[in-house]
Amino acid sequence: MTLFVIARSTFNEAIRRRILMVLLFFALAMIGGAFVFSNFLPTTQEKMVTDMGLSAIQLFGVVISIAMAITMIPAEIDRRTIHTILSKPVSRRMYVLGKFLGGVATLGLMTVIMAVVFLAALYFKGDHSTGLIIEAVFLWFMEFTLLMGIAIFLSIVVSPMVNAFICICVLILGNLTAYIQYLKTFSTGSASMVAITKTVFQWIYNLVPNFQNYDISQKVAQGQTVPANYAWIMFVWTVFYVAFLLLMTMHFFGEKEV
Amino acid sequence: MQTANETVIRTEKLTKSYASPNMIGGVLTVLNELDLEVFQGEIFGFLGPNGAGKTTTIKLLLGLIFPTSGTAEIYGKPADDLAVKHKISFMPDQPHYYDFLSGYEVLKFYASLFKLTGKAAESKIDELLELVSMKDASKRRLREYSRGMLQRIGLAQALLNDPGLLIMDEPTNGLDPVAQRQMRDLIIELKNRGKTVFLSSHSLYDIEIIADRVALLDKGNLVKVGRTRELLSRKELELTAELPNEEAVQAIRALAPDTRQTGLTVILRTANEELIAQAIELVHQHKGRLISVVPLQQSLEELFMETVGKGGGR
Repeated sequence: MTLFVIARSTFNEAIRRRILMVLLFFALAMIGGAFVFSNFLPTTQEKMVTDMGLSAIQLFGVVISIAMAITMIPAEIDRRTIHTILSKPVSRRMYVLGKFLGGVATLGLMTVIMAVVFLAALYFKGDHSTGLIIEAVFLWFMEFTLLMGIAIFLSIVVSPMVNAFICICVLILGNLTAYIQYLKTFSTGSASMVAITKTVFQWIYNLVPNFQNYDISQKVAQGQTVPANYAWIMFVWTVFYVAFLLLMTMHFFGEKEV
Repeated sequence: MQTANETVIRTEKLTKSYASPNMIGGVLTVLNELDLEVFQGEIFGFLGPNGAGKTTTIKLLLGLIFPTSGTAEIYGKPADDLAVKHKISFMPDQPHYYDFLSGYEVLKFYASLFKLTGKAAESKIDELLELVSMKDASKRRLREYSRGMLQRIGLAQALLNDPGLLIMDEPTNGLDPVAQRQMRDLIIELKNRGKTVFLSSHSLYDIEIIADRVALLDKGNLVKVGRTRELLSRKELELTAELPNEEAVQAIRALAPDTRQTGLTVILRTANEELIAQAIELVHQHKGRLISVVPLQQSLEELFMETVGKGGGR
């Protein structure tokens, strides 16, 4: 119950934040703009519009999740609203979990709004193949959730600016993991240098989630299919990764002085 | 079942240190081996200049920060125990609540943290809004509230769980004189209902008139603790008498050279009760009029300045 009280207040506060509304407005403007732009393209290029719409959802979803998560807990510490909350019978674990759930609920609402506008626009253009698009958006939502988990964890140990920087680096590295494996084989120099480089690359490869796995936008744009249980596999993988991040967050927040 | 004189708060050698920002490897001790006991049903005034360690102590009691060494217990359990938090409440010095909510919604939010919902929550909130005179403004957003209104909502949220122990940090901060008086009356009312109030305040006047016991903290050290009246008692007596002639005045002056004189009225201050008895005898012998013999009291402000120095802290 406490968990949902914290989650609801986080959600209520987040949806009132002007910055999130501005980001949502730009996302919707970009999705709408892609369709206006499609009127000037030959029919063969129309798949590019689908790609652009999905990219807009991804871009703004990523920005919203990072923007929200990096300040979610630090802002409560700065404003000291956390003092009256933690002086009530609210465990620090429930607090972290509640904040995360509230953040995910906000993220879910934002993603649904963007997806509904995108699908409605596609529908009016006569494209009724929504199944794979919903799956693509669902996978993006998994990516946003994972990013939010990373940002909430980092918000306990670093400042919001550093947090945002690390999140962007993780996102970039997570989209390059295939290349990291490839780069590993090209290590040069002394034997010890090669060993160190390979170890570093291997650690990055193991630790950083592979964000490319969440991206099926090319397949959607080209009308290809993905395995039937692909989204579920990604869902389960994300749940485990996020659960691990939340356990780490709870551990560090349990020792944090507020 | 809580009984009178039951220890509600007990700290033993409670210490909080931080790494000093000015010295590599240095340590800054903001609270040094604090031993404190607060008993059931009393108003305990917690005083000290800025940086004395008052807020640090409160944060330690609330489990917001952790001691470097020593222990803090509330109702016999570690201060950060979740079970303890059902019985205590905190009213912060600055009103830090969700300002996008109305006064009513804020109280509803905090009530739900105590699993107080539905009709029970509504009636409790209504009762408290009435108590803090905020019923009319309860539908307005907190960001539209004045400082005094926020303090009132702060008090209401602190009373939602009917706490046994109320920890108040500067409750009269930012209140006008009328509201300050109302806040003091409310605190006394809480004591009359059997609540224990741990009151940190800069307002020496407030503490002097309502606190049963007082602790004075300076630079992280407990410098005085005890019953307010006892701490403020100078253990001196003051005799005032009107004498019939200069000869009688000189007789008193011979007894106590420090005696002050205004015309034929003398004022004698001394801790020596024997001397006072002799002075009374002399007044009677000279057929003078004994106006008063009263025990002298220090104001809390005088005690504060005497104890923590005129610098007003760090």
